[in-house]
Amino acid sequence: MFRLTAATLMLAVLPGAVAGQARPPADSAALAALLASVRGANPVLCELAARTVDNQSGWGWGGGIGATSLRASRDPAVRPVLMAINQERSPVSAVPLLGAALIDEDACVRRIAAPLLGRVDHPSALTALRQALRDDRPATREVAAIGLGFTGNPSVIPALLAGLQDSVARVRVACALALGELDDHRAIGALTRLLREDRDEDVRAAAAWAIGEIEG
Amino acid sequence: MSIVDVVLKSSVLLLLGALAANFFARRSAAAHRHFIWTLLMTGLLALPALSALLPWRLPILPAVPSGPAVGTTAAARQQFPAAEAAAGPAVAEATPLASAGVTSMQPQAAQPRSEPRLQPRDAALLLWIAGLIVIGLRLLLSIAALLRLLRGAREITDPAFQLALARAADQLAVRAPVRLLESPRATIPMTFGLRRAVIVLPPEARDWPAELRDVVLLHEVAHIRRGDAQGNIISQLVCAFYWFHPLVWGAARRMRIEAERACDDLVLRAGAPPSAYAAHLLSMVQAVATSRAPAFAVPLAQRSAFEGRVLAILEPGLARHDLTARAVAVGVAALCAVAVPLAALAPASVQQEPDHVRRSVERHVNRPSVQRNVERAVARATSRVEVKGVDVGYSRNVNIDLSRSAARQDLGGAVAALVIGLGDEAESVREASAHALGDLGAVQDTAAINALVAALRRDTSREVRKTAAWALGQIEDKRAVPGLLASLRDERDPEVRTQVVWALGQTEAEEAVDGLGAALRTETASEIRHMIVWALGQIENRAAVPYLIPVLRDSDPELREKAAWALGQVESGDAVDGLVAAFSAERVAKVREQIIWALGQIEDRRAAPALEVALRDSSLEVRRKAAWAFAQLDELPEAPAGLIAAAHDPDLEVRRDVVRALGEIRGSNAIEALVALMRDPDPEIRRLAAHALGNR
Repeated sequence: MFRLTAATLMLAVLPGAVAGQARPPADSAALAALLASVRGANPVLCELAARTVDNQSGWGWGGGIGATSLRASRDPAVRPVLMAINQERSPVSAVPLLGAALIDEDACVRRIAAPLLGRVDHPSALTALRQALRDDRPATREVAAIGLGFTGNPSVIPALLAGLQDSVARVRVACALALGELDDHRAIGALTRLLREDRDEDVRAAAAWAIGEIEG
Repeated sequence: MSIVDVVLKSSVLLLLGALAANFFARRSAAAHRHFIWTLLMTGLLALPALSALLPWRLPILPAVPSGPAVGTTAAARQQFPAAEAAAGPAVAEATPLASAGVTSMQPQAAQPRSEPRLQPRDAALLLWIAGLIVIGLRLLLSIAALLRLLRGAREITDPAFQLALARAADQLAVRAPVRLLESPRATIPMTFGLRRAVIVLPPEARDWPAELRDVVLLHEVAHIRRGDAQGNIISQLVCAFYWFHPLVWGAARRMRIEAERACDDLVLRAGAPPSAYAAHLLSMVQAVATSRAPAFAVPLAQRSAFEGRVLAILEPGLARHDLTARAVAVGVAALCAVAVPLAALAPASVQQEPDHVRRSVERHVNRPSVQRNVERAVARATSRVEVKGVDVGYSRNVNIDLSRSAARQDLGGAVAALVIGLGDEAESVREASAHALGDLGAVQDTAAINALVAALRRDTSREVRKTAAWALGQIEDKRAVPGLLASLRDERDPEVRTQVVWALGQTEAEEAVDGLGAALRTETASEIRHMIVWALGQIENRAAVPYLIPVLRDSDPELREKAAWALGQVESGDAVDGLVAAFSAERVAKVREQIIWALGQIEDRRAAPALEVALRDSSLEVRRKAAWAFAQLDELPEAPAGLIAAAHDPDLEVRRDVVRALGEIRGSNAIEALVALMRDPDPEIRRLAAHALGNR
């Protein structure tokens, strides 16, 4: 019950909190609290939470109920969640925690951890994500690709290009979308081949979308 | 820098200067206005040099064909014969025709193209040099005249004159020595000299009364103090360089007049009684009826502009203060702020495209069209990058080109793949492909446009058709218009139709007007009708007027408002009667306001009676808009009674625009109304009215 409350509350207040000015330095404990709060969330809630985290430093879902209700909240779960989301970059100290979360049994924990790990500005985070992209579990490879898309680092492109050959379609989709996020011309040739030749329609659609992102 | 460049930039600078001088005309002293004109002249002189020397360019001027050297073009043709053959569809089609036996075309094609003997650009340059020589000769003649004047001159040693000169120099704080000469050839007093100042007096000066002698010397010393001889030389040089520019001659004249007035101000501030000074000036002008001073000298009096000068001398409340160091600093800073960016402006032309990019495009012209168009787009993008870059050196240019050449081939393949993706069996792939082609909007590729049109016309999924229409709107290419119009006729799905109309508006193609107009007549769905009216406003073609006027009687007030907006966009006089009729029948204030706005946009004076009615409207916004619209109208011969009555409107904004409108009208009743507005309770209105009266 606690988890559900926290996740719901997070969704209600985060957009405004993201838009607010206060950006306290996050720590690993806050990230742990965030991951704990999404554990077991149903797919719809998880998708909404993931989008909130994805758009955290961007323009995503600004406005709304926002910061005022958050500041007024007395729920002890709110503050660490807020701290975890309210940051530009995750701390290096959180890499072991987030790396472990990539192989968590809970789908929502994996999904939320991926962008947070991608935003750690440190080689150890890149290593963790590259390793995860070679994991046996397709679900881990998928979120690893999502995380690599958030690094903004062109050095990860070869790994993602290799990921386009993955045997599992949803991994190839995630790699194509991540390449679209990274907006690098070197990916155009491979994405074009994917669009022409992949047997899975979701992969072809993702490739088309990514080409538009890169060249648009 | 081309002639067009010079004319454009100097005109901008002159207009800005004229605005500044005009702005200071009432509230400031002649010394300030003269300073502005001097700054302007200096700026004009510096402009060509700055343009040549500045290391960066702002490519926003209109493109000017640069008239390539004949040799280069010929060489390029020899080097790339295939390129020329495939350069355009027309040429490409002519080739098979010729080989199929249409012999009559061959001699023509074989004839070498005759190059015009004189490019217009070169002719303009020659003409300019000829003018420069003529003006230069005139200046030389004037120097000769000055020398002749000096040859017969002798030093005035009369202690009374020397004493008066010393007193004048003392009063005006001139420390440098001044030579006082008398020349039999001089008819009026004048000043010149770059390094050492010289005052030349006519022989009659000996018989002048002491008072006249004192003010004349005071006036001449004032010129020396102000450095008018130097300013005069700048102005002569500017006139020589810009001899073809009428505004420059006007500016030089203004500068001369303001210099005289500033000197008069100095004389008056030194204590000369205005009426006596004016009388002396008058006697001087009568005496010098036919005399001319050499161009490089500063004569004391000239008959033209004399009346205004005497009035300025006699007007008691006029500001006569001198320049302050702060004003000079502000002026110089303002000149730099305007002249430097202005000098940096360059034509935004493809001529900026570096040679190596153009050659690499030409090398590939006989590739499939997809590839070619993609490459053109990439080349455009590349050249943009390079032009934008401030400190991009040669080596970096090369790097960009190399890194792009790989991307160029990839992008061509990507567009081809997306075109194939439009035919994918999966709806999601077709939709994503259409979306990606729209994202690639800059690549106006024929194959992509055709494929998107085909998807729009034939795809079974309405999402795909809608996305295809969106993509065509993003690409904004007129080649898509026939396909979009056909879809507008056949498409049943309202969302797709709306998107199609939007795309037509995006292309801004005149060819779409009739199709959109016909659809507007039959369409019943409100959202689509709104979009059609918007699209017609986007296209801004007068052919839309007959379709839009009936919409002004639509039952939906928002649609009526939008139609009025669209008519204001079109700005055609054809709409005036319809708008006026619609205004008198309109019940909704917001729509009335939009109609009045449209009439103001059109600027046709036939709107005046309706605007008079609108000035009495119950809605404040309508009245405000009507006052604004009146100020937009083409010049009216007389101020309409309604406009004069609106001078008593309780709203300040209405009165402000009424003053502006009255200021544009020549008729005497407008003057009377403006004079009455000088008693307005609001100081801003009084100031605006005074300004309007002063500008007549």
